[in-house]
Amino acid sequence: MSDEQSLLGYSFPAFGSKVRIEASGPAAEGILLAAAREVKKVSETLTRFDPTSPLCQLNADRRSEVQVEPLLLDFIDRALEASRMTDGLIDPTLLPELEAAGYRETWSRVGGRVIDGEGLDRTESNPDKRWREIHVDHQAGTVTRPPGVRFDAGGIGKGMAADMAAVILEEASVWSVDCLGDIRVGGGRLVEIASPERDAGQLAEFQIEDGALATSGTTRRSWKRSDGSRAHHLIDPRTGQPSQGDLVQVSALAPTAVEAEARAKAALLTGLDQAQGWLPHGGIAVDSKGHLHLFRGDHG
Amino acid sequence: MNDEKLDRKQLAAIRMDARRQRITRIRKRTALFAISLAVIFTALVIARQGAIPGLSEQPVQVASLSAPQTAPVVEYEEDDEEEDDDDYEKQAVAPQAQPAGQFYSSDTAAPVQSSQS
Repeated sequence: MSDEQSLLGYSFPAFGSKVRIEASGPAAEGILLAAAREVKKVSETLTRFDPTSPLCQLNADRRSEVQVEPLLLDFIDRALEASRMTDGLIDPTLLPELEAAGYRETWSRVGGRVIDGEGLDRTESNPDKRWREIHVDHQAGTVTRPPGVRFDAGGIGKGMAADMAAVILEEASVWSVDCLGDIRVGGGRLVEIASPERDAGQLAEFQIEDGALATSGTTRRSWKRSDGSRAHHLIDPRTGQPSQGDLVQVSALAPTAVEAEARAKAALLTGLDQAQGWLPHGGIAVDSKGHLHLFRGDHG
Repeated sequence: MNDEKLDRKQLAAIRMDARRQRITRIRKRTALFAISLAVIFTALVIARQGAIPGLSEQPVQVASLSAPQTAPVVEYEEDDEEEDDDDYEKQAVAPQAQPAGQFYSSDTAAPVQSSQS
């Protein structure tokens, strides 16, 4: 393998799984370690499974206005931007609905178990447009939201970590960061999209020079209920329940991982009829019958 | 005194030049992204039939093909650039624990895999 083709990779635990970053060049080791620190910092700030994390502390705070650290403020800002872009299809305040659906512990504990949903306190359950009541004051370093509103970082948090790592990785000529499906690449990389079914191979390959790709779906992070039905982690803010659309997986291309994540999820929630509108940079969707739908972007 | 003023002017000129170079680099990257998107679907999308178990007889469907358009150019305010510099300096001096992980060798031909997040 020539030096021009070789990459150094670094794999490390974050977001409850493994994150992989790769970079070329003689400075790769330092670049990778710096990028890994960024990802780890985001993961530790935004986890909802560590009561000492800044996100958990904010969620537990009953005051309406709370001073939070800049990274958490940055996440809320990016999440609200995604909410505005998707008219609320991306909503960072759906934690009560997610927990009520059964996702109350880390995925390593939820996966493979039979978990029934539970009734939701109706005072908490009013997901439609709840995000509009959140305000961020960067100068004061505060977030204001109705008491009781709790945040979940979800895919936006992983996309944010990928985008922050990308700022450092751009020092290398060829690089990539994979935050559990939220991917940023630079300098030309082949990206494979995995099938919705586990261990079923690849659906497609993209050669991406510089950009992001995110995949959202309902088949992997899903669990059985005692009545035989299945629930999953993608909550539809219009119903407060796991989505029931005609798509099971969507991969979206975009300039940033946060935007790709938002577009993939919005397309998945609104279904095949509206997917084209959410995928202006291109993407691929799989419907519940297993058909593959290819969306060519506006740019060619 | 004159020397000091000269130094400040030189410093300001150097910073302005660096900022211009950064903006140019960002604009080039934005343009590159547009070019990247243009080639993605024309050359290298390989949709593989039969990847989903039990559905190997299903055809691959192309939902739509839209006409090429010019990508928007992103403009960056100089004030934002200044703030970025400050943030970077703060991050650079902040001590941080190194995440425990493993290095491995790869190559540019090896694919990056995207599965459901």
